[in-house]
Amino acid sequence: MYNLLVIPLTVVGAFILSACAYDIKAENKAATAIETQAITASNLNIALETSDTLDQEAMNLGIACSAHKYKMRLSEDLNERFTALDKDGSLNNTSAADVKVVASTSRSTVKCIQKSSVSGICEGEVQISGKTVSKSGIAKPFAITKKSSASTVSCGGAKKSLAQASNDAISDLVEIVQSYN
Amino acid sequence: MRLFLLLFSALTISGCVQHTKMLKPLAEKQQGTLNIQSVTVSYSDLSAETIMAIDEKIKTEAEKKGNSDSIASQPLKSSMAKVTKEVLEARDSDTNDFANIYIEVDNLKFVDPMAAILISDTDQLSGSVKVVDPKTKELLSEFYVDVLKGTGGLLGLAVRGGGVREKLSAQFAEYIGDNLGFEKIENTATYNSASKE
Repeated sequence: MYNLLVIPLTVVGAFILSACAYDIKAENKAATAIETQAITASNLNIALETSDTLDQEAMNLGIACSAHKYKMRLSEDLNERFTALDKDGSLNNTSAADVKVVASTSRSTVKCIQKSSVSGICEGEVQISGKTVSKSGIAKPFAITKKSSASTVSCGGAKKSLAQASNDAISDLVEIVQSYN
Repeated sequence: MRLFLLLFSALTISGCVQHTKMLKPLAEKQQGTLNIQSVTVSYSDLSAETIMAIDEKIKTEAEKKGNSDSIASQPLKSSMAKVTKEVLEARDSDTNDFANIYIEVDNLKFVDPMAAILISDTDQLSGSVKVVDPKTKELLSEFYVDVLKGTGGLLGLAVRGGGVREKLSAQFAEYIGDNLGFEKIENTATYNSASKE
């Protein structure tokens, strides 16, 4: 009987108060590597411009898992993917680029809710907005929002859902750029 | 041992929790000036199935008791919208600076009586709030609200009483009012659904 009380109580306490810092890029390493390897080099010379907001800590909404910190490194992820997509395998920020990607703002949030004393669900959301500019100077804005959810016992679902959402958001942006091919 | 567990759960559940996370603060010049025109409540994908099941259960129980017209028997999206509008109307301004409130509920959780008696448990209502200019559709403010109310022991359960959904909604509305810079009015959070029937 004692163990029946202690275990859920410990989990509840851990769910609410446990504190750790996570690097989402590191969490997502395997999935990112697979996605990057799956990209075939295009005929495009790509230039990439990113802002600091892409590498901000994700905001943890709600109280559950609020002590956890999630460091985003979307600019590095974008760099890797577009390098793989680039014709020459290296990005250049010159006017000679066939397409310039300007990822100017980003917001990442995660929220976890308790479903029972021993389980919950987390939802990560990543927004990236900016514009793509063609060689002829035509700018097209983009605003990508991706959500992903993952079940959780002790906040592990938070980093999982954030990692998946960031992976999906970047994949969408890669598709947008591939359309210039 | 029981005392340790009670203390642990009290520390776990209460303490320095942030009930609001701000995503987009309201412009300073608009703080305290908005006139709330409407409140709309919806359920997010995280919780829709659970909350609709609770709504159905509440409706069935109300029909058995013959008080299906009361606010306590309405679905959460109706009762919460009504309670929120009432709480905010008591605090907002009478200016022409109108705003609409959109709430998307992520979680409605009630205390498990067994857990509450043995240790403690919490009622919870959480969701995102968007404040929109009805004319321009501009997003004026966006934030997340999480209301957590702990209950422990038989006494705690007795004190908790009824109308829990409405009390949580009223507290949720108070946090909205705080974020919009409305002046505090005493006792608006002690919403009693019985008095509204």
